[in-house]
Amino acid sequence: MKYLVTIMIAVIFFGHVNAQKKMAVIPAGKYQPFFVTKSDKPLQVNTFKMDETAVTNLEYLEFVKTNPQWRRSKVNRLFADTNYLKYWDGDLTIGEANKNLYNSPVVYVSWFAAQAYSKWKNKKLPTVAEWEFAANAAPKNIKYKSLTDYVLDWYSKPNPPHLPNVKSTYQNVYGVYDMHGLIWEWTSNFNSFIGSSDSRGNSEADLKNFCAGGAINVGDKTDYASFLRYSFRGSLKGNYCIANLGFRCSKDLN
Amino acid sequence: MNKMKTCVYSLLVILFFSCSDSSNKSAFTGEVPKNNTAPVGTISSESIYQLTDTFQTQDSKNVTLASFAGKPTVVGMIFTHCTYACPRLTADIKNVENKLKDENGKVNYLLVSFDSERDFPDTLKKYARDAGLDENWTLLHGNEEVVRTLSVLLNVQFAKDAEGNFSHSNIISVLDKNGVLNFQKEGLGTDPEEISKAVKQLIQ
Repeated sequence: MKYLVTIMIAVIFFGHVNAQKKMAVIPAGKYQPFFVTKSDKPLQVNTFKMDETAVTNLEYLEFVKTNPQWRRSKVNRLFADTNYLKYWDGDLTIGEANKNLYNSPVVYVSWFAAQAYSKWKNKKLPTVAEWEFAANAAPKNIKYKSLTDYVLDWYSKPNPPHLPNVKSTYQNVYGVYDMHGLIWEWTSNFNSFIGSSDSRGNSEADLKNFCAGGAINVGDKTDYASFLRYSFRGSLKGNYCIANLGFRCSKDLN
Repeated sequence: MNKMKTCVYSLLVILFFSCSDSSNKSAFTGEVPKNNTAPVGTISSESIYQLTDTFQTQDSKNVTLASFAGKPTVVGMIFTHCTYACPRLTADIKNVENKLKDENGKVNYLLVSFDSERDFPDTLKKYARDAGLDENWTLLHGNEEVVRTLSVLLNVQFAKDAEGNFSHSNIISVLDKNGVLNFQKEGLGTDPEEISKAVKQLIQ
């Protein structure tokens, strides 16, 4: 009996870690970038697959086990700043105190780390267009007035003391969970927010994007949520590791 | 009104993030902290030459960034279909080269294209010829992923639009002979004096 229980626990535990992560199919569509570039045509988003949830601490642990260069004590500062995985107990231990975080999104990971993880999984990070397109889909199991209101409500709340597990917010009609409400997520081309100066080389462009003048260049002037998300992405650098910033992977359909 | 409050609060949060996390990082312009203590011949942990992916030169040669080690390198990112900003950025770097006439052959000048789909070696070669770039210049084509990675390392922002053109920031970067970012200047029509001074200090 004891053995059986042990085996069952082992199966449940390892099964969880090693199970192929479920991916949802996001159908093709058009995405209008929030900040209008020289071309105001929407971007084509092809059908792609996206992880149902963000990458969890347990899943990330498997990655650092097999990729020593991504362990906290070994990681190169060019690729991850000193906050990298700072809440973990050690290189290969998430820690007893963090037990309730095992199935929560891994955070304090850099863009380079997220890229490396995705490659290791034979996947990639979604582009901004893919991510935003998937995230704009309607929630199906929560009550909300508008997605923007839901997102702003979340943005206005302080971080919870313990980051909740994945799937703790809502699932959208495409089948992906927690696109809003849990963490911010890295995208492959996060540095495509032209917040410093654009190709016209006009230093006024900074001001245009951040102050009132910027509103004439954005897609939907009432979409504060997108504005905040784009601004946040624009403030990041590739080696930043931040409290509520994690990632999920995507994959082309074939 | 409530919405407004939320917005302002969230912006403050963002500002806080962007400030608190940038304290020891290079700004978009100006001097980058000098922490290159690696001995000659080794790649320091701050070196962007750790990027091992392959690029193609305008002569269709496969190279890694590490092949530019040994001399300081002035880098810009451009695309050849760009009609306004990129020719100016190229001209700005040429001005730096002119300022450094006495140091001919001791500095690499590097242009990396954003446009992985159109800027193949032939196109880059034509661009180099039309812009009158000499043998000290290398123009690089790379796949989308490696170009994106380099842009992240150089703090260059760029976005591709639906027509295949790019919005991008204009930054001239100076790498030391080991590939460590030493100096950056953002904008067009920059004074070549400041950049050439930074390069000069790196020449041995």
